[in-house]
Amino acid sequence: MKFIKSYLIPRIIQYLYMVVIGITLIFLIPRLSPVDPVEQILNTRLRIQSTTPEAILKIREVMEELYGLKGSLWEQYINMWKRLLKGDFGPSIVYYPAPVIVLIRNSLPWTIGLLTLTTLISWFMGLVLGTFLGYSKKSSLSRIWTAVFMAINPVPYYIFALTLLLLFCYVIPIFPLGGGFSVGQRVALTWSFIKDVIKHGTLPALSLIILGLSGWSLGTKILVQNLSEEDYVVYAQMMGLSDQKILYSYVLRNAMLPQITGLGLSLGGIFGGAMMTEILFTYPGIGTLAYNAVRANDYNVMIAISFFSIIAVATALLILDLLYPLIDPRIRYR
Amino acid sequence: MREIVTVENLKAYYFIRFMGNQTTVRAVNGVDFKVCEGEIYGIAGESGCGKSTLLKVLFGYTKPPLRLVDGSVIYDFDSQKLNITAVNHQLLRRVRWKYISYVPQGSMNVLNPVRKVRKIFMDVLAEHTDMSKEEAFYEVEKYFEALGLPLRVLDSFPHQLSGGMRQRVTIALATILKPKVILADEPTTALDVVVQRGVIQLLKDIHDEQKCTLIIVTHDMGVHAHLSSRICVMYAGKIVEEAPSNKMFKDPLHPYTKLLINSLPSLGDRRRREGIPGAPPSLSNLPPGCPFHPRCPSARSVCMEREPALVTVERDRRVACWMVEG
Repeated sequence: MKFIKSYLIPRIIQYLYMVVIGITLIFLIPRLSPVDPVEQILNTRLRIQSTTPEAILKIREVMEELYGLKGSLWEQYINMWKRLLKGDFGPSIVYYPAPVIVLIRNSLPWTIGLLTLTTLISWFMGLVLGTFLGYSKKSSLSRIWTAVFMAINPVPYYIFALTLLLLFCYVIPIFPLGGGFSVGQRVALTWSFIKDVIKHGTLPALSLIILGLSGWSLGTKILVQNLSEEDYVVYAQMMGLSDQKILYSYVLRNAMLPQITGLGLSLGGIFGGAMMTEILFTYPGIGTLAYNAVRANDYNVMIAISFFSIIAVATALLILDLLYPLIDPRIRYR
Repeated sequence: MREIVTVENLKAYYFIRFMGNQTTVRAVNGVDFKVCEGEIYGIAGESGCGKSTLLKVLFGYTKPPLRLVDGSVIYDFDSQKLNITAVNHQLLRRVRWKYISYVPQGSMNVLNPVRKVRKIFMDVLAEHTDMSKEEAFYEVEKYFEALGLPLRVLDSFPHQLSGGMRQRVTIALATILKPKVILADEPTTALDVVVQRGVIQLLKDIHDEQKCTLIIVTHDMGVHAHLSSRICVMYAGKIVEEAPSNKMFKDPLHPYTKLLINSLPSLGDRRRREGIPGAPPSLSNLPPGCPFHPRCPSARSVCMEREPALVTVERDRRVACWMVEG
């Protein structure tokens, strides 16, 4: 009970005000911008067809309603919360009249599938490889791998992804150029569809894994290198414990603590999508949706994506906070 | 009595290269002594005189930049003689903890923060014995009971223990396999005097119980007076005096030893305590002649020119000083 009162409840309160502040910010920031979306749409409309002033006023009113821009700032704010809590993000402008929530529901599985998998794989492999690199830093194998990762790590993502595309779609054409699945393929849970999705997803996944892996490995390597100098690791060596035991229970166990925080944040960040990846590989995920929304000033979509990102990162942090006492005893018994 | 440790002309230097400049720190510079079985042998000296380094070399733990330059450390166990400076890694691992163990300096951080104390003990037992997990589990409890340590400590994490308890746990950890030789590096430093006494008593109890040989390094002459049966005093990487502890405290021969002992307060004596003037010399740039001469109250001209050798003055006493005729 003490746990709930002194640990759980403060963290949930913290979670709630984090979400509220985040959402208030995404409410305020677009309203600070000089671009008025309603005006913009009216302008494009009026260029194409002539309309009577009464009709224009009518359109403006409807538009303001749709964008939640009616009334004073405070009324708009209250209205936004009412709609958010109902899960109503309004219609998209680009894909009018499709509701934003449907667009997100269609894109999210693609992004979650791709990014969860690549994040977990690169995190886990990075942890294992980095531990090896840091613990046997004198061996030539470790030196070679470190050099390779050091070379890969600073390469800008788009250059790396384009190189992969060029190599595997043009020079050696074994992967399709982009998209989530082949044109004409029916979205269904059939074997041929799954195969098609895997074939399309391999290249974006590969680009994310290789770059992620090099980052995680180098980070873990430095952590492990520092930990190897810790008194308790040196003393474990003096005790004559086997390298395996020291590596696993003394070094890795301690190196994992900060890396788990990193993993949690990366997983939370998934909901924002990997914009660069999705655009380069024309992948039908949240990133592409966000990119198109920004280009077309699709406010409702932008706000919905930011909303989910905020919720996801805050939730990831909350879960981490709740899990951390299980992995670090120093927090458990405070 | 049988000599269990024989150290001969031991030289171990730190080779430090910094921006192209090579510096040699002569931390252990020609040390030889013998320790008999069952003895408590004390090594005393100021900070930076090489005593901790000496202990590391005795444990066979020379990692760069520390390198063994010359000499040998021979352990004579019942069945075999072992030169620890020349054995391979595998043998070293088997010998450590079972035959020779080590109580480190500053035990605050030598216990893994995310591992329960019992687990750390079980790691040691699993590595060096054939005990099953269950046997090891109870063996640890039995040992803690024998030492009079509270059993709740076993299910704690290191950060939950006080400094004194951590030091006791470390001593228990170093002695659970009943090693023949225990090397203790400043076991009481960083503890307050009340806790120090408990820790010293624990070491003494273990020594009496297990009939092991204890080599203890500390700058605290009070600890030596309490514990050691024989003491050697180190200065600038060398032994300057070695004697049974009662003789050393009653009648020190080397001026440095005299000053060290004079700095100790004793009961009822209200005189002002004098420190030793000056600071210990840099081990990378030793003065010519006797390394102590710049601080020595009775230095003569010969002290500045030639270094005195460690000579035997009585059957069990050795001194390195021009003032003392061998």
